[in-house]
Amino acid sequence: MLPRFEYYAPADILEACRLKAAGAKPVAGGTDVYVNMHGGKEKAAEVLDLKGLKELQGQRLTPEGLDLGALTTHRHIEEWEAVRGRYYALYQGCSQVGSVQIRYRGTLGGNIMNGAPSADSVGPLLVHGAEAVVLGPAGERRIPLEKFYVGFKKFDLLPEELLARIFVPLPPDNAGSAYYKYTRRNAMDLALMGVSAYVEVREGVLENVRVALTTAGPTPVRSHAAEAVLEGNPVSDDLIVRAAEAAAAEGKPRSSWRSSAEFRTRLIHDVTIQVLHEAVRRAEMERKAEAILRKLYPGQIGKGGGDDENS
Amino acid sequence: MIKQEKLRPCEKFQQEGREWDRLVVHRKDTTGDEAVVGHTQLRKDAVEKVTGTALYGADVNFPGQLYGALTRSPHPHARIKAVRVEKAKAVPGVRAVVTGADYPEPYGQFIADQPIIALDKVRYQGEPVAAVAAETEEAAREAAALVEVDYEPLPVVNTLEESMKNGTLIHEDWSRYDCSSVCFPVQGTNIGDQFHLKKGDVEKGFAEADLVVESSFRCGQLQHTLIETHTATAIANPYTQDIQVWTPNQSPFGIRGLMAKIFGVPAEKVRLTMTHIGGAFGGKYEAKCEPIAIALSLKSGGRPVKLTYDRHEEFEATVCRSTVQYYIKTGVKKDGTITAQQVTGYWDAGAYVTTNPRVDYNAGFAAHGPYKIPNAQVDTYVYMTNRTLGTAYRGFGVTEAATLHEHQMDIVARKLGMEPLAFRLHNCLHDGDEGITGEIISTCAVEECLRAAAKNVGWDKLPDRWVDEEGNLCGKGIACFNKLTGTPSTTSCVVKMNENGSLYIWSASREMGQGVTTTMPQFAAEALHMDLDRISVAPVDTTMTPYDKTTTSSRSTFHSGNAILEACEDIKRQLCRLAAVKWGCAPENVTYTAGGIIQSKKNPALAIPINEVGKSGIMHEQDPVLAIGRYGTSDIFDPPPVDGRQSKRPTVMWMIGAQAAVVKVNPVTGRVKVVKMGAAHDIGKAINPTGCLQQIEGAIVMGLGHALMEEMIYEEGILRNGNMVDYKVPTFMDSDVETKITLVENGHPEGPFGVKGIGEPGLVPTAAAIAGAVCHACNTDFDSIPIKPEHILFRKEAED
Repeated sequence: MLPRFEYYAPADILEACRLKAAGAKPVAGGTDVYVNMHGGKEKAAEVLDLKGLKELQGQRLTPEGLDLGALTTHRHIEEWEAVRGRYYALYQGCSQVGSVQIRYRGTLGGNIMNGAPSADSVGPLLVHGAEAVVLGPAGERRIPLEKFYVGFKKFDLLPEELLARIFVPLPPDNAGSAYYKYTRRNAMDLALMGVSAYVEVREGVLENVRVALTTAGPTPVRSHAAEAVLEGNPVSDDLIVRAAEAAAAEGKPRSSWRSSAEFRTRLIHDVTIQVLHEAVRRAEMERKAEAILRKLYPGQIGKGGGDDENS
Repeated sequence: MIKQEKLRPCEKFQQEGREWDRLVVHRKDTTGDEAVVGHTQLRKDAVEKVTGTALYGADVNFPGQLYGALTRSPHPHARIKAVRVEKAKAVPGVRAVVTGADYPEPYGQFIADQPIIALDKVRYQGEPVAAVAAETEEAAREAAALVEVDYEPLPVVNTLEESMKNGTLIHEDWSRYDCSSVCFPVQGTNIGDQFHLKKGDVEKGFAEADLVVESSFRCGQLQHTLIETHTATAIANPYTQDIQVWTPNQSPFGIRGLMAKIFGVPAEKVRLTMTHIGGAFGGKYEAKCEPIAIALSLKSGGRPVKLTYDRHEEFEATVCRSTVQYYIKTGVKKDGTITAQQVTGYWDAGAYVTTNPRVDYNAGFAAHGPYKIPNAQVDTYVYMTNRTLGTAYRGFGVTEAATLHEHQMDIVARKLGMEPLAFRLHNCLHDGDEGITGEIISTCAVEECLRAAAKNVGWDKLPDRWVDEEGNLCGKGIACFNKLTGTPSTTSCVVKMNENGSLYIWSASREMGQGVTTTMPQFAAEALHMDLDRISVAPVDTTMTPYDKTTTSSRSTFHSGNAILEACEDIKRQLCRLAAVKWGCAPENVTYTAGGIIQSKKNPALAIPINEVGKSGIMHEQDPVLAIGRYGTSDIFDPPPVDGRQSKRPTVMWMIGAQAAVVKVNPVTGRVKVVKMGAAHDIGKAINPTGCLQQIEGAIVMGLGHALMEEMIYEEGILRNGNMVDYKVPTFMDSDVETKITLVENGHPEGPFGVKGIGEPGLVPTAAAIAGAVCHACNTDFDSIPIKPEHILFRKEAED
């Protein structure tokens, strides 16, 4: 049963910040908040609907990168051709959230702020080096997403601040990324475990490697141990296996009724191998054709495109 | 009004969109040239349901209605020291609070072991300890949360193994309860029921065998996950004791009897008005919300009270399919002939006995499958634990039994070096063979079903296991089964002609998706040669609808069909008599032709087609046309005695079928993809063929969940995954299985047009076939379902 609550839908960001500071629960798509209210887990007496705030709306791809309003839906990302090309892991993450119906409502900002260790968009955003852009009465702050998470459902965010936008830098042509979501079924499921990877490959050597694990700790986390194995080294099967071992060792999953630690450890290991191979393959293959064409027609095929609003 | 003719694309859809075929083995009372029976018809409930206008249980509302809510035990096992309701009563809007003390008499179909609200102790987490009715749902929930209960926690019996030690007793004294003659608890133990079947001498049979194989199998605990949760709305008058309940229950007369008993009123005082059912599968056989809503209404001065469970309550505290741990021992000759088989089983029935004796009984007769076994034994026990209540679940225990015996058939075949299908065909029952009760088997097409199911997946061309080009481990599996229908049972119907010549059928056979409100009119349409559009099933209400035992056991089309055919013969006689009155001739001079024409024998020009009978004037100011039909199976039933359960006729109808599965297993992720299912079910006669196919297709997706995904996980009596995220029911995205079905028609001598049941059977061999295929693919004897990815990744390969 959905309990009774006061509903606010301000159009003014400062009003929204004031309401949040006073204890109202922010809602975007509502696919987590209202479900939790139904189940009695969330007992907010006041709900703050963010959908009318223009500072949280819109999304565009610029030569610097992806500028995503926190209200951007998973479905929007899923259907955005340019994102699929350059941010493949993000495409994979967003396109595997819940179901089509949920992806139409659920937002990127909501996925981050719900704080679930299994959040599908967060691992990909972490490996793509995303930044959280927060707004409050004191103005704007930009925080690397990794630092934005400070604990289980805890964020570097003041009571009067809101997550407004997410910025994801444009990857170079030699970059590739991938995400693997391990589930028991093909829809309406949470990641039992997930691995995201981002690599840049320069003459066979891995650079700027980032690996993240989903559902392996209180928040989606970077696996610095796996990154350290890979960074600056030539790609090889052996290297990838060693990185997978490092990721599995760093993941330290626990046994629960959902699955045993042994099983999760093995999954992190095996899936990391798959995801790294996929990221490397995409780095080496994916935009080669585009790069060749750009050389053939200098100035005519733009890097990163213009302002792709995709709306 | 939408004309039915215009909405009849089903035949086309069925021909173009699906792969299926029909195998006629034996025709009974059918030429195959019938006009209505045997042809796909648009479901009578389709438009209502698809347009969202069908009224389900929770759609019932009354002016002045109160809302019920329950205080539930957080403890799986505890003594109740005190219940204080003052704070709850003080909540504004609260009109009634009921506790266990108000209804101290326990109830139960087989043994009266369950209070409607816990009294002296709670035996499972979520058991009701108090109920509140209030003007709003919010007030009711708030008040329920304010009921104070002092508990003294008791040791929790979390597992079957713990229960079997009998160290902690869930029910200390079975002898205190009113026990029926078909339930066999053991005093001083956690055994709530037992079943023993003995044919021949298994020890002698094992001694004659060249090889004796033993194995075990466990089926996990399942939730029905009905789309519509349990609900009931009651108006119970405390002054006259008239009780009326609106409910989506599947057993109107069973519940009526139970309510009469609980509330100490004669049965005719209890009126159950049945709504549409949003999924039942056995889960709406028990009384859940009904007695509590009645109690609250009585206590609030007869105000209407609506009680609807939420999804968490549904998981934690309604009903489920019991866990069962089976052991099986088989003796076999080198040539593959089975000499003896012994099955021992232990059910984890949860905290109260409920329907488990019937589950135990049905599974007992099916525990050896449709095989020739000269020496057979079954010993099974229903154990109580502090878990939610086991009950009927599509197949009444037979699905679990089939999973056991088919797993064993695969192991024995492998040890003998025989091909799994060949081993089954070598041992399967044929007409004239003796079944495990000493019955001479008839109308048994198991060989045809096995062969057709195998053909539907291209069995002969596939090895037992192989690796595909992507490195997936692939395998095939096959399973067959036999399931009885509950016998004896009776049904009745009234067929009433309206003034315009249309027909109502009054029958308590409940539409729960299986299509009975379409098949029942089909029988009448065929018998009378009347347009199907002119025949409908009246709503079900126990004050008006004639008696039917229950809508379970795949019995409705078989039993109600017979009753309707009898009533239709009477309708014909009545119409001939009315025509004779009109025409001024003797009734014997009027005939009802095969083409549905009421015709004078002497003057064939005097003729009334049945579809024009309303306009003909023959009914004007004459005796209304109203016929009854009855069907029962007490006369053919040979009651199987408790000692050994030998019987020449334990059931009126055996249901037979087989399914084959092809799976691929990802060796890295351990995930299983069911690639293909081939099914063949002996349905006797397909009355509404698309309906039969839908029953089987739906069951296959359900069984896929049982084999690979679904299980209720408890830790210390606490349900961990009581929600739709953590309890993994297959979604549409998991249901992409290529399915080919053969409807085998081996007419049943007593079935209307030869029909047999198909409500449950589609599910019975599914998990068994899939589990067999996964075992083959992985070269492993997985000994439980669901087979999960972690079992696959950490499997131990079979050595022999």
